[in-house]
Amino acid sequence: MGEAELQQLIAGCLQQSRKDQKMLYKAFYGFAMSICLRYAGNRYEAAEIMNQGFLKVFTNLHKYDTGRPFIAWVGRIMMNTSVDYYRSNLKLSLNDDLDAAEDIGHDELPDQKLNYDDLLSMIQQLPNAYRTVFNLFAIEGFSHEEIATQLGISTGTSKSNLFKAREKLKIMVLNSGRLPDNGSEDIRHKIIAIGAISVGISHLIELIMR
Amino acid sequence: MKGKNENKLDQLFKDGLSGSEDHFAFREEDWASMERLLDNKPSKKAVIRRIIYYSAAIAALLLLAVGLFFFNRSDKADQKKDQLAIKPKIKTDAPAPVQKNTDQNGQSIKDKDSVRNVNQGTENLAKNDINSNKGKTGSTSGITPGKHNQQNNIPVDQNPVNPNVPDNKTIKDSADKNKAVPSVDNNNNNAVDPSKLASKTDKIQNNLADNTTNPKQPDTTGSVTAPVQQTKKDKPSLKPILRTGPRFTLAILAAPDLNAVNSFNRNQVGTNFGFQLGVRLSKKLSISTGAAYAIKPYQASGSQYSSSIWQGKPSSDLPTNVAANCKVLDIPINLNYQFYSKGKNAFSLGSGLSSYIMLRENYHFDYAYGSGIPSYDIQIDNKNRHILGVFNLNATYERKINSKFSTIIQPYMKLPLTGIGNGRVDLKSTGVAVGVSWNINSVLRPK
Repeated sequence: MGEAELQQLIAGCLQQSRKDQKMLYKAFYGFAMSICLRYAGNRYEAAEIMNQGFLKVFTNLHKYDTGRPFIAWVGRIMMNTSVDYYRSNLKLSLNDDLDAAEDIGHDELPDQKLNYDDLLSMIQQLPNAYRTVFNLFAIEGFSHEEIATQLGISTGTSKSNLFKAREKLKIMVLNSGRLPDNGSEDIRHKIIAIGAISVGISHLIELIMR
Repeated sequence: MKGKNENKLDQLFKDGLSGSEDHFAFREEDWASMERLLDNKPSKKAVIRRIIYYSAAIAALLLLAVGLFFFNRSDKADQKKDQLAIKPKIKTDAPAPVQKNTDQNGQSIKDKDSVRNVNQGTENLAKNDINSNKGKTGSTSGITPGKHNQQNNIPVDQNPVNPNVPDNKTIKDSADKNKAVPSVDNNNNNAVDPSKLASKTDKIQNNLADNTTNPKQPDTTGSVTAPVQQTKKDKPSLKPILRTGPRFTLAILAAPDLNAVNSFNRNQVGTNFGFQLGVRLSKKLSISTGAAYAIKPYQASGSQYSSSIWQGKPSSDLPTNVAANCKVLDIPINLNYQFYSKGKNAFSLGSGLSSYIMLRENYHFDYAYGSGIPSYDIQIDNKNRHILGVFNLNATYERKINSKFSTIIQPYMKLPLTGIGNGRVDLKSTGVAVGVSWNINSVLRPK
């Protein structure tokens, strides 16, 4: 999209033209989605975050500084919206060997090429708190101090979450795709619990019927 | 950040995930929800959430209104009856019968114990408890006199701040002990067979049906003072729990309710809605109490419905079918154990006892064609009370919506320990309650 065309669209959006809004939405859809998907647990949440982000874009368009690239502004909004979306459950973990976080990922990783979908699904399998910190640190390039202030957590938590995110991602990369135990074990636990309850209740009902 | 730049893993993801803008084709459905946002229309999710919140609020208000209605009604009735009651007698004899009741009647002792456990609902329960004592003695005297007694009793339990109570505490206590012995005789006089008295109310009803005019009966009115004292004494023991900061939750639940007599072969669906107040004692244990208004329709055969009217009659003279519809105030006390909790999900199992206060009972009796007896209806208001007479079992699945609210799905079963209602039927209920739970501490904390 040319710069002039973009300026025209922005002007149209400022006048609340629904057609221009849709054009702008369409133009930045892929970009915004790629950011939100990294922060979100799945596509639905990503779409919800993205729309909230776009709402901020449309309502705050008059604040946009035309001297700067528009795409960066949109990206920033998407990132902030994503972080806000998961803010309530960001305070996970602490108290690990924090310096060890730096060591993970230095040693050998397989040379195989992982495609976008694999990497995305790995990142989406991480708990929200780990995923957010990993995104901000490894992909956006923020420091732990910046992350800590942005998320309202301590730098220790930020480091610890990064460490755990890397740990899990590494395992997934080595197994190319899945977290071997945790995920399946969780489901297995749930199935066993539900099974036990239903068996117990059916026995009970049978007993009472007699 | 030296490590950052060198980290292969980070690099792998950074490279792999960037430049993927063209990966996503535009989807019309996303734009549709965007348009909804732009039009300031709340999303579907928000609408559902709002409906849940509103309906919860309406349910709470309704319940409050219903509660107040019954509270006021009995209040007015009391005032009338008060004038009729012979006051001096009540005052002097008051404590003795209580002693009698608790000593004689194993069940009412249990009732009191449970009051101690309740924490929050103490006051409520104390009232019910009192009701139980009076309900039991009251119902001994048949339908109309029974009502009299019940209503006579109520003023005392509604004035737990009765000036006599705190002042005379010690005196009354000792008085109770002294009077306990003679009062037992007293009771024996009333009962045809004391052992039966100790067992179940329905038996008492039959035995004492003739004794309605017994002058000693009104004495029970004063009996209420003693339990009130008890709960007062118990209150300080709650303080340590309060200091350590228990966690309170308020849940509003509604459920379709399957009711059946004896077995669930012939069940009918009623409804049940109410609130539950929970107090968390430890990480896994919690106590919950509350109140629920339940409409319980059920069908029973004539032999399952026991009535003094057709006692001793051959089975051919019994109604072939009894259709009942009961409006019940259900006050449970449950102990819950949370055995699984991870992330947003939690499972717990609970058990406890419920008190049924039968607000209205409608019965329709059908007789066989050959018998020549026409079918008829009866209606009984506010007569039967089954204090802690129902055993509760439930499993709860709780899922957090946010830090304040969670949704609850709770399959439950209620099994009577005594006969329920006028016909003393073995009325079992089961169902799945669905509701919203509110973490009260999220509001209380800042204080």
